Amino acid sequence: MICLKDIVKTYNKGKSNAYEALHGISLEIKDREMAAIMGTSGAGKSTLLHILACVDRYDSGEYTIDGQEMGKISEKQMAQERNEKIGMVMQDFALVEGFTALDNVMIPLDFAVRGHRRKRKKRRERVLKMLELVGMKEYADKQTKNLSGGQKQRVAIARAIANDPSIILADEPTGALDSATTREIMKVFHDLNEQGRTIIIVTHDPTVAEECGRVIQIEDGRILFEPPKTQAGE
Amino acid sequence: MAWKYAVRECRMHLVMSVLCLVQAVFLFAVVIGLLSVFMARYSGYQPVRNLAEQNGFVSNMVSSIHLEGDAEGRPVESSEAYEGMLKDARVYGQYRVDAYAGDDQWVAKEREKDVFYSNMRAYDDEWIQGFVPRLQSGRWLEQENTEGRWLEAVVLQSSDRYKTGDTVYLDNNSTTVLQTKIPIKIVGIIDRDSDIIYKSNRGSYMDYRLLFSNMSEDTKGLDKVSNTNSSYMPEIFFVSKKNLDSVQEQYVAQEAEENLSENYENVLSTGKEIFFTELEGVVLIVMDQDCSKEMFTYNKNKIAQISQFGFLHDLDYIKKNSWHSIMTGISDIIPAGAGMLLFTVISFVTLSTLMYQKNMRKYSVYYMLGLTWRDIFRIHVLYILLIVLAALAVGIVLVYGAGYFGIWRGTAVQIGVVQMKGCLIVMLLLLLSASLMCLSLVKGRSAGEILQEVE
Repeated sequence: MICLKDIVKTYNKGKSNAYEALHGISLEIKDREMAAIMGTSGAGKSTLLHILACVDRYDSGEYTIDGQEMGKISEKQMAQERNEKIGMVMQDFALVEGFTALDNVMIPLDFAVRGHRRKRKKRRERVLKMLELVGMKEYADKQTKNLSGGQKQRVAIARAIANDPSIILADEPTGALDSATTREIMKVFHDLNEQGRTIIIVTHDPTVAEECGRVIQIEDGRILFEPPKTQAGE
Repeated sequence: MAWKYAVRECRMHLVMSVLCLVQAVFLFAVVIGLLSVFMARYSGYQPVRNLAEQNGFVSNMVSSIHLEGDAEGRPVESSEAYEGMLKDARVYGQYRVDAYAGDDQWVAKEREKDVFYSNMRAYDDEWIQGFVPRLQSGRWLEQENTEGRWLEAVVLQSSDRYKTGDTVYLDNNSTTVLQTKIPIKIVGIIDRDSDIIYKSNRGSYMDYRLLFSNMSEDTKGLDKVSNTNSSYMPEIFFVSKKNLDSVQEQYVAQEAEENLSENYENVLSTGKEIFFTELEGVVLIVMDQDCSKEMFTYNKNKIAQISQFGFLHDLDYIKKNSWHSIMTGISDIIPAGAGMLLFTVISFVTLSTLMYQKNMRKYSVYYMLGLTWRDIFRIHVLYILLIVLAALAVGIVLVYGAGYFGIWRGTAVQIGVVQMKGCLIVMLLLLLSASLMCLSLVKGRSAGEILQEVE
């Protein structure tokens, strides 16, 4: 379970241009939940997502994943958490240019800490399995720059789940896709959720939010309210 | 893992990597060139630097005499005797030994011709330790060699008459036939082209070069096997003075009294010696660094009183001139070289920083997928290291290749230990400065901030 309690995050702390991006966010997301975080631009969605993804530290409050306090672990442990427990999907796919689809999905497997790292052959098998899962196996050796937006996002999802994380965080995953591809990608997220993964999607798109079991509205660094599922699209 | 991703960096940024490589090759070429020029000059001074950079004097002695006591008016036979006439000075001497070394037949032949001359030189330990000439074969003299009943010698010869392992015998430099037959084992042969510390005939130099002689240079144009020309000897046997004293001590009792000469210092138990020695050639007289000006002047005046010499110079003067002659020309190119070095380092570091900045998005993805900034930094540094190592390899191949085709003929360019050390230092400098610049890009910002900026 993900639990945030009074999370405060200030950028440029101690400087004249300091500003508080999150003002005491408290939130609980249960295992296997599929939630959407909505809000206007500058509301603090990305900051919240970075904190959830352990790519940024917070100034005060408490953030726990399965009871483990994230603010108290070392850089190295945090990297391991990112590698093993969290998968991230970005709006611009965040694929490494110049790498093939296979190489991209291989990255989190290569970065696994010693002792947790699979053997080379097993890693390759795992990558192909993940690509197959998102329908991209035949594109494994293709340069990602030659893929369409939807194909790129599938590769990014395959990469996010390569290490079998329990949490998938997606930052506007369909923001750069057409509606047909959006539906396909959302289906992949649903499948992953059904497999038992917690999915958190940051989105502007009410139709995407509508597909999630829960919608969290954020404004000016505060959670406004959690509208019932039916109100999300209004 | 880090190596795998570092190699990928090279492949992904081929043009930038090649640009960096070319710069690094140029940098190594500048370093090798500058150090080669310096080493070509310095290599002559280096072997005698420790000896020459002391407080005292260097002299090319012709003869020295005792001024008082029983030995008044007699030649000075040892450095200890010479030291006794000075104040708190140590003398690193070499000696003309009144002896003739050669194989039996040769000695007999020479005796018949009555053209005997001394062909033996003895060194004090300081010279044995302080300067080792280049050897053609065998080994150099040992300091602590006073055990055996034979002399160990290293030979410098204009022909190939003797070789390492030969045993010859010692006779004295007169028509007297000695009863004792002292063996000399030849332990090494000096390269004819090597500099040696002997009687200096380079008084025109006012630097370290005046310490040396060189058989090849000195006998150029002369008939090398002729011994009738008095300007050189066909062979010189170099021995340790300590070894000579100890061997004499063992043989002196069995030699006929009339063949012995008086030993003024009574270092030998008999008070007699077989072979007369005299301080001659290049001699160092050293004093403590903090010795007073009065003592320095006293000793200098005393030396002038006791000895006849080709030259007598302050070591400080020799040191100053030595460095001046080494740096002449080099000091002119140092600013240009340093400028080129600095420019190339800055340009290399700028390129590597640009690459790091260009890679920030990719690195932030790596971070997101489970690396720490330290891991990412390691990948980047390994990438730079790969370029620098490749540049070093290319540089070495180019220098050797050019050498193979004779391009460096007549120049000082070469790759030695010093040049390699210089390249290693430059390599570390490149890595360090490139690393610091890259670190400064991340410093003070959280990964989330970088990710947001990159997005």
